[in-house]
Amino acid sequence: MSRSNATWILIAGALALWGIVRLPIFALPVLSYLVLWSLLCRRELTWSKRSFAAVAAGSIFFFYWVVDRREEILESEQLRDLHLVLADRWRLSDLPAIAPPIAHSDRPNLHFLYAPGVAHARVEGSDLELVGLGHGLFRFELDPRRHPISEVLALDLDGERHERRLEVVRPTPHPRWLCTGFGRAASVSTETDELFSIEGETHRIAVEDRPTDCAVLPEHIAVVHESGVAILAGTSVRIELGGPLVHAAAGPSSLAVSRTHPPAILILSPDLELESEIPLSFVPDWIAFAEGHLIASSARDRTLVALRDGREAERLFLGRPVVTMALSPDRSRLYAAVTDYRPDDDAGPNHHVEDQILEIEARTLRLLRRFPTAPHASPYAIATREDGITVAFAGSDEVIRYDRSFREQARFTFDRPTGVAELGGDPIISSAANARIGAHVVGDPDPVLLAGERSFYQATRAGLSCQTCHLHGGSDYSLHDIGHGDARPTLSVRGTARTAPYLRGASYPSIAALEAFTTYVLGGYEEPIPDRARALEAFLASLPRTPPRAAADVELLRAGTDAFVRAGCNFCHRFPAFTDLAQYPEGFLFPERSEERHLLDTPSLLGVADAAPYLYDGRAETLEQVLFDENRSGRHGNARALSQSDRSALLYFLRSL
Amino acid sequence: MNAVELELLLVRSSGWIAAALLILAIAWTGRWRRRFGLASFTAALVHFAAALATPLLPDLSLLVYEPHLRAGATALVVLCFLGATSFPSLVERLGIRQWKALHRAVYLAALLVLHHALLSPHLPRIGAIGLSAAILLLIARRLSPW
Repeated sequence: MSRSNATWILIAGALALWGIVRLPIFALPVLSYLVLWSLLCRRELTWSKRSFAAVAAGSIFFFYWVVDRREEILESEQLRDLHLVLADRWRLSDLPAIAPPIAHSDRPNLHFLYAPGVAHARVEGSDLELVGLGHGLFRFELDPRRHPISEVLALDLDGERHERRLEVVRPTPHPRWLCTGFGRAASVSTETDELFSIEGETHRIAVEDRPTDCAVLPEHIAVVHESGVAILAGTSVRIELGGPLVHAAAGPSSLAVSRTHPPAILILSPDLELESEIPLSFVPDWIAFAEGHLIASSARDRTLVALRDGREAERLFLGRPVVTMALSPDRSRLYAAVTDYRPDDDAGPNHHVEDQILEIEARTLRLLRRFPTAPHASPYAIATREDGITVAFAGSDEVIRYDRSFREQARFTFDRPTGVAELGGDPIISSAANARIGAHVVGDPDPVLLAGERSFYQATRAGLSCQTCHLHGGSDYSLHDIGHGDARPTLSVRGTARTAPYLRGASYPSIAALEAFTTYVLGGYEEPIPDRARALEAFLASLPRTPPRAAADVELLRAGTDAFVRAGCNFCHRFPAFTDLAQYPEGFLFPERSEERHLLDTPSLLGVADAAPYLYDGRAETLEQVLFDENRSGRHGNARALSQSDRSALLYFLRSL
Repeated sequence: MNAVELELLLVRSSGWIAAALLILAIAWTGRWRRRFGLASFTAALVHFAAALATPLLPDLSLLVYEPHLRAGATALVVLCFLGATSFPSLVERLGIRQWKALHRAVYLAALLVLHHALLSPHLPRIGAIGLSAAILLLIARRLSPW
């Protein structure tokens, strides 16, 4: 052992030091190597018994520590799940590339193909139209009503054949809320185009495309579709009302339907004659027929608005969107479930939220009482009775009957309840994830998606669930401080799958990596779900993103694409996913905010029209503000150099994504 | 091409040049090894200076907290040591054994460069595969007894 072996002694010494200092970063052994060399470089290093013993002991220490703390090392060196990050990045750079790579078999899907240098693109054996927007970008819509959606897309690009894979989500029936009236209940499944009518037993009725809600009228049930309302009474009657329709409410002698674009509430007679249209200054969500007036909720404004004589009247600011709401049978009181109540619009301390039910006087929109529902999390549906309310808690498998003073009267257990109706006797309960209405099984959900959906709504020990802020996978349009020391707007998680890494700092390579957060910060879950992270990931990937507004003007889209490229937007918001999955310090793009030193990720622009407020702290309300007011230096896209017509084309293009 | 694109181009290209030269330095033997090594060190300094000059590296503390920047900075420290000791007079004073012991750290630098590149969010597929293959093969060749 007399041979000089300086390298090995230095390596062993550096590793031993690493084991002793226990800092889970690679820089430590490397720097130790250099420092040890500096200390020992004047001496001839040979193995002596003493050095051998010291190094051997140190190495054992090191190996024990590395094996014990390997996860921590991978975490702090960002090597955990690196393959997921690389896979997404490479899929997007493997041209021709398609984004998003997920298609839903139950609804039209908008995709983008990036194939630079290609003039003509088509899909083999299909008349699917790929609209060339210039600069190698193509836009196409996969609509299951016109083209079967398959896993493999065989592309013909200027005569060259390319195959690209799509993940296809095939949803099962999802009866969400139950609507009631006249001793009957009903529910719809958007995913499978079905109406469930419950009158003693459950009847399944196939309806036209994509029902979103229903309302029980004296004679029949009205089904709200995305663009129209239909009734099923002998001959099918349908009225087209444009724009996406969301919810319906039955009044004593009419039917109200909320439309998001252009925002309005439409009043129909029971036989579907349009009686009046109330244009709104906000996008309506839930509606209720009070005595002599309507009450609409606005998710984005987090407000309840009373509508009298076709005009907006009283408002009640809640600070959080309404999850669901129901009127008492005498229509005098409104019960609204919210994930918190913040009339001061305060972001609140780190993840402090309180699920609750608000009792509101329907006539004046005056808040009468608040009822925090903890420890039962995520009230999903409310049914009202003469003597109280019944609440379905999606987060805890419970349906609870309360009396007028919110004292518990009875409790029913149902697997992830999402709808409840009181028709006398025991309540009728439905579950969207489980595809059940009462004892009636209406679908056969994929066990992984089922576990994921359960997990999404399930409460942690801290009383929070994913649903608490990401309402049904969307946003609660509120600001939260989740440990950054500043309040940031909640992002929608719809459509974010396959764009790793996640979160604004891009610090999570997968949803699975968030598990540590729920375990250590939120106290973990009471009930275990096997392989929760993967199930949750699959569920989130199965959520469709909000479809953009129709964009029919191809010439304007082409001009917009060109403006997008000329302003340099696609350098980071790269085709086809409109992100390069990279991170930049904020001061790099906004020199006027050079004090911001975090690395922020490039968000995808798909669905950007609906993603306000913009920029990581939500300081821009509109896309115009992002491009012009909040972009003084022109480094966040040189949009100021564009002409007025190019600017409007660019905005049209962005809203079409 | 606007200022943002130019700055990114400068940072990225200097980084790639530094990595390529480092691989050449490891692969080569003889005089060119030293030249490639010093050229790689110079390119790495340009890469670092470019990142410092643009707002891409707004805060030096990111060199400690951001894993891929930390890997890059550590690799640069290693290259500084190697660069500073690559003058013939110094090699003689240190003795060839000691000098070799230090200069074997070039493999650590190469691994850190790979870590830095794999986590850098601008890596094209061909770059990742090429860089990983080159660095891992060179290390395997050095470690293998044949």
